[in-house]
Amino acid sequence: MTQHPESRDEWDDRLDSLLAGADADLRASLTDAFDVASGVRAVLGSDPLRSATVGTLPEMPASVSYQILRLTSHFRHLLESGYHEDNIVKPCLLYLAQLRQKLGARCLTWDQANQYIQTVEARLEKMFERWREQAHYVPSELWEIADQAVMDLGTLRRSVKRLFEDSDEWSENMAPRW
Amino acid sequence: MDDDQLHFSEFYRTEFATLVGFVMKAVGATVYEGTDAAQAALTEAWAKWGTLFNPRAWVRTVAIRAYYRSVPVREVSLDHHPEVLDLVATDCPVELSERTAAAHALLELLPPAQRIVLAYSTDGFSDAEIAAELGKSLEAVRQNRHRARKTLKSLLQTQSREVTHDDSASRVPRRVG
Repeated sequence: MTQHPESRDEWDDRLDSLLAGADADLRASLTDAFDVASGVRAVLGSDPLRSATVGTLPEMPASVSYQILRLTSHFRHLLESGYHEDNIVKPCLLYLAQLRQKLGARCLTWDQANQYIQTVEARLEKMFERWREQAHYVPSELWEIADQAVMDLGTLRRSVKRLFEDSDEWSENMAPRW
Repeated sequence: MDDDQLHFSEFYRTEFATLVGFVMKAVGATVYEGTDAAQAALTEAWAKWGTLFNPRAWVRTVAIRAYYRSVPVREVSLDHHPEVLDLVATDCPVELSERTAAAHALLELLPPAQRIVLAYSTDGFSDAEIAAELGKSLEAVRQNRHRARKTLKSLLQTQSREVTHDDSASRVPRRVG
């Protein structure tokens, strides 16, 4: 059967024009707001981990971006385990996502980054308190994951601090862009 | 930078904003969610760089997956966590143009299957490529695209009539008393 080209009318043109214009506007807004160069750097910073899977390389000299992904992986384990408190693990995932994005877009100061990390630590401590109250319900595997998360948060704090201390670009441009 | 890094860097620069827009169009993500999903997808792409057959299509699939993975996080009400409200951006970090907002508002009205097909289509993917990415038949993709466009055209026509009607109504002298 012969395929007929789809017939077009004036409204097709209007629709295409609206969609293309909307895309162009959005690209322009994002280009203004998002520091693409630092976004690229954030990704390329994970260079040593090119063939790695999150959670399988605990001793790799990891980049900040990898460390956040690794922490995210811990919290996802906790989330999926069903032994967490919703109001603890979910916000931690949110804070880590925000921290990753804001670092990628280079739009926060060291104090703000540290506040994110402290907030996650405080949430974890609260979770430990609740777990202690019901110790026999929580499998040891989850304690290990949560302990690892605490250690990884410490590593992340040191790496992020180094990022601000070592790079002139970072220390010169610490004002939020958004 | 080695060749891989240069190619990836170029790909990132070309694709980032378009990819954010794609996630917004395809599943209704906010700018913030779209940005995060795009960054996550591009991070994964770099880990597999050189082995991806069609990186543009691959990052779109992964970005959508990243967006859905973040759904439990999005459900958190920040009202219960006042200590971080000053850190967590609750407002839109990028100001959308009227045109973008209008287009995305229209896309919101489409069923999910039609919406995602149209998002791929507006990003220049052929029906065959979309079918391959979504694991659907070519005919299903064609139908979804056709129905999506038909619905949107009809909505545009309705909006246009309403604007015309409002304009002419405002020119009619109002009866007083």
